[in-house]
Amino acid sequence: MTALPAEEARAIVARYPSPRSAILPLLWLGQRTAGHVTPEAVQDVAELLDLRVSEVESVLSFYTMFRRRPPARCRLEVCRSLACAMKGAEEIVEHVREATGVEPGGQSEDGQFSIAYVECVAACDHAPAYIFNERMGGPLTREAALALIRGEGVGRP
Amino acid sequence: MIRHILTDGMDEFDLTRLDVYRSRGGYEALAKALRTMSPDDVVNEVKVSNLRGRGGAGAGTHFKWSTLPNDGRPRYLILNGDESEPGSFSGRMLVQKNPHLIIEGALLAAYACKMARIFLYLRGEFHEGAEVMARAVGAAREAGLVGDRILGSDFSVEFVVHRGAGAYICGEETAIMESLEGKRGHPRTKPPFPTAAGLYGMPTVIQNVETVANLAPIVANGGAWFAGIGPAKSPGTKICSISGRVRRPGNYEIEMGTPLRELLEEHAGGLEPGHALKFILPAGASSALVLPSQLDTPLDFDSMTAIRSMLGSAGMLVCDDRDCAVHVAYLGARFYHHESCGKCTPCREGTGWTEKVLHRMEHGEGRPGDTKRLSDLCAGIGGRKCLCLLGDFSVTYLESALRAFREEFVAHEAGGPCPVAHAALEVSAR
Ligand SMILES: Cc1cc2nc3c(=O)[nH]c(=O)nc-3n(C[C@H](O)[C@H](O)[C@H](O)COP(=O)(O)O)c2cc1C
Ligand code: SF4
Repeated sequence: MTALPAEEARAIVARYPSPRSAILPLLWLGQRTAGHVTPEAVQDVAELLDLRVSEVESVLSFYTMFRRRPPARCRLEVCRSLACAMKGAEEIVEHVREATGVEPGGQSEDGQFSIAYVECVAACDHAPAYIFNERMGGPLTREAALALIRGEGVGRP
Repeated sequence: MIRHILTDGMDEFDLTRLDVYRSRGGYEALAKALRTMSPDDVVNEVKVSNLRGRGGAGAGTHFKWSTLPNDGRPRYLILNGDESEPGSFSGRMLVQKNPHLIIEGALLAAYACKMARIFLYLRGEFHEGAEVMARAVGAAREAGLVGDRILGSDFSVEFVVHRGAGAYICGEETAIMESLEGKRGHPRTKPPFPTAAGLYGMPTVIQNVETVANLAPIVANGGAWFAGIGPAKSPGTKICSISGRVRRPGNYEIEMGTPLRELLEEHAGGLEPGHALKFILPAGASSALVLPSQLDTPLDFDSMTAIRSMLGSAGMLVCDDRDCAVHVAYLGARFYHHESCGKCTPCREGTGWTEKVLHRMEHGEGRPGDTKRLSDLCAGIGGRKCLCLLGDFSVTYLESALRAFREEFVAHEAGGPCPVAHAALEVSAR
C-alpha cells in the first residue's frame, strides 16, 4: 500500500463481515488523505479487497461525492432542489458565475474556489442551503457566496 | 399538538454527551430490557405499541420483525439515515442532536431480534452527523453499552457507522444493501424481501432512524402507553419537517393526528404576509399535492392516504401564490432525472423526457400538446412498471399537479414568459 494509511485501512476492513463492504469507507479515507481519490488509492483499495481496479472504478463512479482531481481551497456546493430553488439558489450561482466567470461544476484557474450544484442536502429549513468545505449552512445570499469563495469566511449563519 | 418524546430536552441539553443523555434517563430502557425482559418481551411491547415505520411507507415494525425466519443464520439491522427526500430533514436533526436515542433504540431492536450487527447508513453529505455519531458510538462502547457483553449481560452487538457518498437511491432498502456490500447502489428485485435474504444474503431488517428512536420510550413506558398517543392505528409522534413559504421553517414533533392546519398556521407561523397557500407537497417530492381545501386533514398515515396523498417521512414543502405549478414540477422532474439509477428503462428514459418537456415549458419554449405529453409520460412510467418505487415517485406529484393546475400547464404551451406569478420576480426584487 502506498496511498492509504495502512493501519487505519486494515481496521476499516475488519469492521465488516465481508471485505468488499469497506470500499466506500476506504475511498473516503483516500479522499481525506490526499484531498481527492488518486489512482494510487484506487489501486490500494483493489489490492486490499482483492478486486480488480475496474470494479473499484465502477463503484466509485456511481457516487457523486468522490473527487477525482485536487480540490480547490474553498469549495461551495449549493443545493438546487425544490425548497432551495424556490428561494433563489440558482440566481445566486448565476450571480457568482457573472462575477467570476466560473461555471457551476467548475473551479477557478488559481485553485482558489470551486462552485457546484448539489441535490437536496436535507437542510430545507435553511434554504437556500449550501455545503462549504464539508460544513452545512444557509440561507445563502449573493454576498455570502462571494465572501465564502474568496475565503473571507462569513461565519456560519 | 406539539409533544416532545424524541426531541425531549434536545434544545435545552447537550444530549450528544453520554453523561447528559444518561442523567436524563438515557440507556435505562436498555438496562431494563437486559435485566428484566426476554427478547420476546421486547418484541411484544413493540407489537402492543403499534409502532409504524417513519421512513415513508408506514410499515408495521412488529410485522416486519415477525417475518424474520428462525433458521439460526446471522441477522443484520440496517438503520436508514440516508434521508435524501427533498423536504425531509428530521433525521439530520436527530442524528446531530440526539444520537444516543438512535443508538439505544437500535440496541433494543438488535436485542429483540437477536441481530449480529448494526449498520447505520448515513448519507455522505452528513459530514457533521457522521462525526457526532462516531463520537457517540465510541463513548457508548467505552461505557460498555456497545460491543461485547453489554452492561454485563450475555448480549453482544457491534455498531458500525457507514457513510454513503451521494446518491438518493441508496435510501431505498435494497439499494442500501447493495451499497453496504460495496457495490453500485442499484435496487434489487423483490422478493426475496430483506427479512428473508438481505445484506450478504442474510435476514435483514431495515429501519428508519426515527423509527428506532421510538423504541427506548416504548420499552421505558410500555407499548400500551405509546399506543394511547394519537390515532389507534397510527400512534405516537412524528417529527414533521416543514419548509418553503412559511415564516418558521423547521422540525416540529407533533402527536399523530394533529391537523395539518395547526402545524402550518400555529407552529410554522403560517405563510409569509400578503401571500396565500397554493399547495403543499406533504411527503417531499414524492407525494400527491395537498390543496388548501384539505388543510384539516389529520397528520397520520391513514388520514393522509385517505385524501390520496401520503404522510411518508413528513417532509412538507409549502408553496404559495408565487409558485408556478410548472416551475415546481420542473424542479421535481430535474431531481428525479438526476437521481434515477438508470437500471430500468421507463424510469431512466422517462424521467429524462419528462425533465426535457418541463424544461422547455419552464423556459418559455413550450409546445402545443406538451401537457398531454406529460400525462402520457406519467402513464408510461407509473403503475409499478419499474423495479423500485422511484419511478412511481417521479410521477405521483406530477399527475396530481396536472390534475389540480392543468390550466397553468396548458398556458405554458404557448411559450413566452411565465404567465403565473413567478418566484424569480420576487428574488430579483430583493
Ligand atoms: C427511492 C426511495 C428512497 C428512499 N429513501 C429513504 C430514506 O432516505 N430514508 C428512509 O428511512 N427510507 C427511505 N425509503 C424507504 C425505505 O425503502 C424503507 O422502506 C424504510 O427505510 C423502512 O424503514 P421503516 O420501516 O422504519 O420506515 C426510500 C424508498 C425509496 C423507494
Ligand atoms: S425505478 Fe429508477 S431508480 Fe428504481 S431501479 Fe429502476 S431506474 Fe433505478
